[in-house]
Amino acid sequence: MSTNNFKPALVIVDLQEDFCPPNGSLAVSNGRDIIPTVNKLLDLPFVIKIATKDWHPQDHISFASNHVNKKPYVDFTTIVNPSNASETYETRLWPDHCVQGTKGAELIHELDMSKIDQVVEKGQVREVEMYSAFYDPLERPRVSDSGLAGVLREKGVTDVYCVGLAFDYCVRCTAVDAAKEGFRTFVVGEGTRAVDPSTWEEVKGELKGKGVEVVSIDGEEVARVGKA
Amino acid sequence: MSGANDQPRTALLLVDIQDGFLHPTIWGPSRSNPAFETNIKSLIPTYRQLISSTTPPTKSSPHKIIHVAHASKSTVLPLYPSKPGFAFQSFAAPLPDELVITKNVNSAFIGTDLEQVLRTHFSGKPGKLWVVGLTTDHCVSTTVRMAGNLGVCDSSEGEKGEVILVEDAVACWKKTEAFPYGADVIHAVHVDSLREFASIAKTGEVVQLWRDLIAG
Repeated sequence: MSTNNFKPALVIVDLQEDFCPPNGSLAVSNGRDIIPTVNKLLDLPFVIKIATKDWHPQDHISFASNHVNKKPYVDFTTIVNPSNASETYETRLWPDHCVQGTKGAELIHELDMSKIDQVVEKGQVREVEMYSAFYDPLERPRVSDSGLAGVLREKGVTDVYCVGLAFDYCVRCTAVDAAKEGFRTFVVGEGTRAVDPSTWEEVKGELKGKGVEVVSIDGEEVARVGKA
Repeated sequence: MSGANDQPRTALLLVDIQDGFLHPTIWGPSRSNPAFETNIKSLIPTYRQLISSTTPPTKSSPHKIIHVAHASKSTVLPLYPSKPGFAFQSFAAPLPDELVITKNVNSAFIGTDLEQVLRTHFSGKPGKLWVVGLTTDHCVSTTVRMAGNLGVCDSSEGEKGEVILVEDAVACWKKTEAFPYGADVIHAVHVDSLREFASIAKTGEVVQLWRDLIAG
């Protein structure tokens, strides 16, 4: 139930075929295990339910195949701000994934699309990586803004609940940016999985430091949404 | 001058001598063998002379030049077919009647008809295959290893032919500055390991051999 003080949004991050076993090119172990939790959340009265999609061009800079002598998962490349060569950072390289228009980029079939209000795409710009569903990491100036913050504000959203893939990459970055945008932000633990599960506690700690709590599907934060 | 029938059947394989390798930074901080270009410029014309010296009007030569081009699958890499880097370097440009084989992976045998071309050319007799080009440790190495393992130069009765790597007519890059060995060391180590698969020769002796064949 929403009141003037409590308007919760659900953001399902990158629940796409390429991030899931058995066929995903960048499958997160046990990625499909989050489906029951996600479907449970989809039945709750959030004021808006958004699904995000990593949506890359074939020549995206994060694909190891677009670099010489580089391997996915282990190698890095330097992202240079196209508008400001002095702003750079290192990003990890991945196998080709979520290429626009491919089967791998589709939201998984178990997701009930009739319950999704809006789909937000990210990662379309060739030269920049974009883990967060809000914007890319560059700031001077920012390169990509998905408009997600605007969509949430338009609905008067106060709280953002994040689930999806992967906990240590796109979910983490999306949640951090949601908190930065002033939304009270939660990650529902049973609704996400990590590329590197050994970093779970570390990521959880980092999120807490940035104002994001990892909560349980059975906890009071989720229960609050359900009090309709 | 020897007739075409007396001479061994041979082939010269030019691997990936394309403009994309002129990119100043993408392949690594430094390259081996500064004499690479000079040696290729000496080998190609001499081999072409060998071909024309043995080509009577109605028969094809026992010697065959084969150009290999690498076609990257990534649209952003220099060797992607529609990029200017895909073109052969000017001194290695094929003549109109010379065979060009295009590949997508390191081995010139995979996804191409190179094996068939060579076996047909050697006509069941033992042959010699000289391999030159770029890069020592990637496409040249993979191609030489496969040529050795496939026995492409061997006769149909199993008499051994010869795959010959011209060690000073290939080159390779040091990939990262942090790697503790220079490009020439990387080159030398790879050449040494390829002794398992091929004979190793130098440009000077190969050019001399061809000149001797031309002279009869």
